Amino acid sequence: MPEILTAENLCFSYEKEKAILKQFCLGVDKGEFVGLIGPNGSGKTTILKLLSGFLLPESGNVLLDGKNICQLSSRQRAIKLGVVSQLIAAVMPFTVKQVVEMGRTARLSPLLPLRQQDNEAVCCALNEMDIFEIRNKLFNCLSGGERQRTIVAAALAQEPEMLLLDEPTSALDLGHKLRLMGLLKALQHRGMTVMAVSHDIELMARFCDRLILIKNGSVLAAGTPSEVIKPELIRQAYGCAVSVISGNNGEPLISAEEVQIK
Amino acid sequence: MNKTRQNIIIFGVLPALLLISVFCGLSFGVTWISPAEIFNTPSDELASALISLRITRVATAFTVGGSLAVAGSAYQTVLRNPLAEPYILGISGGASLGAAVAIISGLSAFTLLAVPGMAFIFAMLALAVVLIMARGRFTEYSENILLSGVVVGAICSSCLMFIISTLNHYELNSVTWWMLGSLQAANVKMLYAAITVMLAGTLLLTFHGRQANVISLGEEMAHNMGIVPFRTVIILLCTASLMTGVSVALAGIISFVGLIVPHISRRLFGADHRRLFILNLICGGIFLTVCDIFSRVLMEAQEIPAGVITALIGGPFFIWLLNRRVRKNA
Repeated sequence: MPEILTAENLCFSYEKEKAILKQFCLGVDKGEFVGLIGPNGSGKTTILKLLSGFLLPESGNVLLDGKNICQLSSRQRAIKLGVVSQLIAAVMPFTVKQVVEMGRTARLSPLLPLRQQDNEAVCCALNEMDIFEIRNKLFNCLSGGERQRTIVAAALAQEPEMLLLDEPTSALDLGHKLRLMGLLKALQHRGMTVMAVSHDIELMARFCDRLILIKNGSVLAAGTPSEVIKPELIRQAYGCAVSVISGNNGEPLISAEEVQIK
Repeated sequence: MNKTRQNIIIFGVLPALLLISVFCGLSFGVTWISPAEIFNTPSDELASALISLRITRVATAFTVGGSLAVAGSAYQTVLRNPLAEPYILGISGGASLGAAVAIISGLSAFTLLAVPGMAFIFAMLALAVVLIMARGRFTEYSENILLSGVVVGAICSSCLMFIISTLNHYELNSVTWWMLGSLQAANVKMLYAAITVMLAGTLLLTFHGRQANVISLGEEMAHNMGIVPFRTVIILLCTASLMTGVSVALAGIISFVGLIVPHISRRLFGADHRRLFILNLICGGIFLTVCDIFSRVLMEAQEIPAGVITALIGGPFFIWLLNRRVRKNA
């Protein structure tokens, strides 16, 4: 499978002489489901923002479908790449449906109303994220989980070829967490490429084809979940001793060996 | 509010209010002119001149109120702060300083565009200083921007006072009259220019309404949804500042219209900027026209500047909004 998203030697820092990424490289194949895991502050969100073109690297390139992401127009980029960023708060009183409709912005002319295909995409996204019933509620009056599902729905309404998600399950209950990951898996089977950042290693191990373990802005390990989730690698990345056992479906499950309470 | 009620307000209540406020604006004042006299040819020249003056006044009130409401709505969207408003952000202060500089330097004698032009340039400068001063982590940014606005407004006001203190008698007279602010436009050409800016600005903002909706969710969301945040922000801020600058050049500082009207409009019509800018224009126009009527009739044989009325309503409204925000965040 050809690569849909490629990061070539990315260097980035927020402050001078405090590099977050040094010569970071990454490739995501079309139709793949990739999980980006790593401890707090390892640079996962920064990588996602660079891959989405929101941040510009000091050096290096991000290629989307073989083209430099900076050279694509914002509309072209948004049609190919949907991004779910971390939780946001709306200042203006938009309804859930209005926020999801905003996902169609790249496909619409400035003043014309939504066409039939736009309404269908919005309706489908609302149903898939289980928020159709609350579509007329105000976004800023929702719970964290409902807001998160709304943002994911907006990205789904974009109908992109690839989805980048930054901690999409952090505010979700167990049921919605599993439902979302199941939906992402189903989208992968329909041909979409998915890349998600998460702290939930077991969830990622269960659903992703490939995991990339990040530490201090560089790749510590990459491969299938069973290749990456090993006690030694987890200890190196997170600084804690764990044991790894196999679940019913062969997915790795982590158990902390000892917890020190000071 | 459901769509049926919104439609009743948009297509029934608003046009009715607009007509009533315009006719009241033409009729009320030191001398009462009945609607029949307005429609029929006035019997004497004095009545005719009075109606002509009142038409200019109502048009000025509508233009200034509408422009400030639309500008306030744009600032609130871009800065993601419902308390942002041209006066509170110091932009009206900057514009008034620019207008005063144009009058004192004699530029206004050369061209009609000098006062609104300088008001616009100084409004943009004030906005730039506010944005630079407010820079910080995003969570603080929204709050910092109000504090920076107050500081910039105070600095502009001090500069204006310093300039006034150095003026001779003639210059002092012309600047003082302008500073007092009046909705009776002395220059009809300036009023036409302001109407043009109001209509063109509102249309431009409405054209960018969909982008304005997305930008209010934050720059990252806007980027992800296929918008160039920087370009959209610049278009919205420059248009809002031009509308503010021209309004200040025409009528002096009129505070809080850009705060009260967009807030009420959002409550009534929702947050979709594709129609909200136009609705703000109409609501802002009606609001200031009504305030102007009160300014004429509240005290017998004396006018209260319309800015005083808007400040008396807007001040408590601002405190109420601020308290509501604090309670919400607690």
